[in-house]
Amino acid sequence: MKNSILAIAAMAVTSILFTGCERHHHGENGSLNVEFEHLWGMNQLPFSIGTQYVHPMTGDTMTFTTLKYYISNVELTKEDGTVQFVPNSYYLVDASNPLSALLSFDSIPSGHYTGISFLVGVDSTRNVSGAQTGALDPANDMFWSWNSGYVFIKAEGTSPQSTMPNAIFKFHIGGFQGVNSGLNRVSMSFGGGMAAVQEVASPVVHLAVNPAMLWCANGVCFPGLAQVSHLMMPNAATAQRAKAFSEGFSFEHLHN
Amino acid sequence: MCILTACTPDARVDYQALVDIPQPDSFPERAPWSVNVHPMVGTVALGQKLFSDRSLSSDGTVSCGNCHRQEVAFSDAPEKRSTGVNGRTGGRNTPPVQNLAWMPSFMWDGGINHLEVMPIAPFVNEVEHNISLKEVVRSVRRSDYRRDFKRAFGDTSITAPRIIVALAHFMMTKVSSQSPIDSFYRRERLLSNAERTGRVLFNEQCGSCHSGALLSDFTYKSHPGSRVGSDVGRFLVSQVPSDSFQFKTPSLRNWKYTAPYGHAGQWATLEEVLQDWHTQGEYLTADEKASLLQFLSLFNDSEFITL
Repeated sequence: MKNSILAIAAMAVTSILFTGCERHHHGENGSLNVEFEHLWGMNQLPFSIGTQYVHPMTGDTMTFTTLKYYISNVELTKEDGTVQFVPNSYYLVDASNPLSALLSFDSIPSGHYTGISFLVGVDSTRNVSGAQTGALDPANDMFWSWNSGYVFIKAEGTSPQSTMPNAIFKFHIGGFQGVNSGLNRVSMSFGGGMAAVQEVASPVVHLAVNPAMLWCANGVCFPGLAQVSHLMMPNAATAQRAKAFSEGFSFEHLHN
Repeated sequence: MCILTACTPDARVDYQALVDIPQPDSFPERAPWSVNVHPMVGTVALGQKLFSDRSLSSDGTVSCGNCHRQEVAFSDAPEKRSTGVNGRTGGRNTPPVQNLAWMPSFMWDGGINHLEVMPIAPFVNEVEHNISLKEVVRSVRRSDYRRDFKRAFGDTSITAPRIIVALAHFMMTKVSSQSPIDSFYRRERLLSNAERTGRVLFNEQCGSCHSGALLSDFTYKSHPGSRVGSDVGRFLVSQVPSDSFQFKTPSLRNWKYTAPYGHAGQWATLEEVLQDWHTQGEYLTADEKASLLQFLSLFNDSEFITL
């Protein structure tokens, strides 16, 4: 009995000593920032709302009035392979608002990070849990009122190829369950580099997003705007487009 | 202390106190979504005020309470379809607001999965309130609500999530469980011979869908006569072809107050509903129909529509 107590006491002291060392070297938290840059097509033209583009594969001419999408459930990979989950990470990126495209993950343990992973969309739990706040506030106009769930990707604009009134196109892409789920996880490394998060340094990781991928991915194209200019609910077509859009994220560079 | 607080009636009200949602023994378990929803005195009071606020519509004429009136069990009887902004007509028959804590989903097609997000649908629907949530928030901020939000949520911040939560809390308190059948379930009353006969008939003919104390299995079915126009019902939200023209089994509670019936209000009376079954070969004699209706009358809760 006495020996057991001594052993436990020794373990406790050892534990405190080791924890103390750990805290001394790595215990502080810092921030990591991720900036999404929207670049159109293979030639990576700077993308902006209100500018006319030609799709390099379908040949359609289009001008976006809206491009918004959710990024959530962020995970960061450390150099030792461990994964740091970013709690409560829900972001609505709006291509018309540069501030919304700069995501800041605060209170991240200091260390060297080699990659990132996130959902393009909103996890199923938050789709079935009633009124949400912040980025998920339904007043952000990214929630289907008649078929509960978040619109993960909203792309709207005009195109002479569209057969809709006023030549508009509207893609509201989402769906969190079943075979037509539009939820996709994107994972990528920082190209062999490391983001060094420290209390006094907040690295910035630049990721590229290619909105043209809504129409083509990996050499496979979906119907152009003359055929499909209107997708407004979860189905097989939106699931395909969601997957294609998620494949349009790529690592660009990082600043420490 | 009493002297100091006596001048403000608020001091006697605990706005953070939970409002009890009764759980009658005969009712099923509450719906999973409701587990983390806890109406409080303050949120329910705020929800009630919002429920009757006509400014929360594009032309200032439509409140939730326009089409969900207590005297008809918070339905819009006798309208087949309700009237929204600028005299526009709604797409489906307005269901009663009752016993919502036990409903796994909402709307005739079950497209809405949580009571807190339910109010969004009529707000933004262009033939109902025709107002965005941002506009709802702006309207509430312009009105005299600051004290109500402070009581409900502890501060005066007015946001869309708070508005829909308050509406949900108010609606959740609308529990109808004081009908004669509830007295029977509590062993406070016996059934007459005709009611007993009607009960047997009902269980045989209707009870597989209109099941349990709430008279619904909350699944989606096609009923003889339920195909009206081009409304494909459940298919709209599920995209499963076999769900076409299926609609949620409605509870028959308070049917006396809520006619007409069906998603399009296509049946003016229960006799008409039974007539459609009759044409499908489910024949009932006049006596059997009378017994059935006598039994079903036990599900009308006069207290619910007057309190």
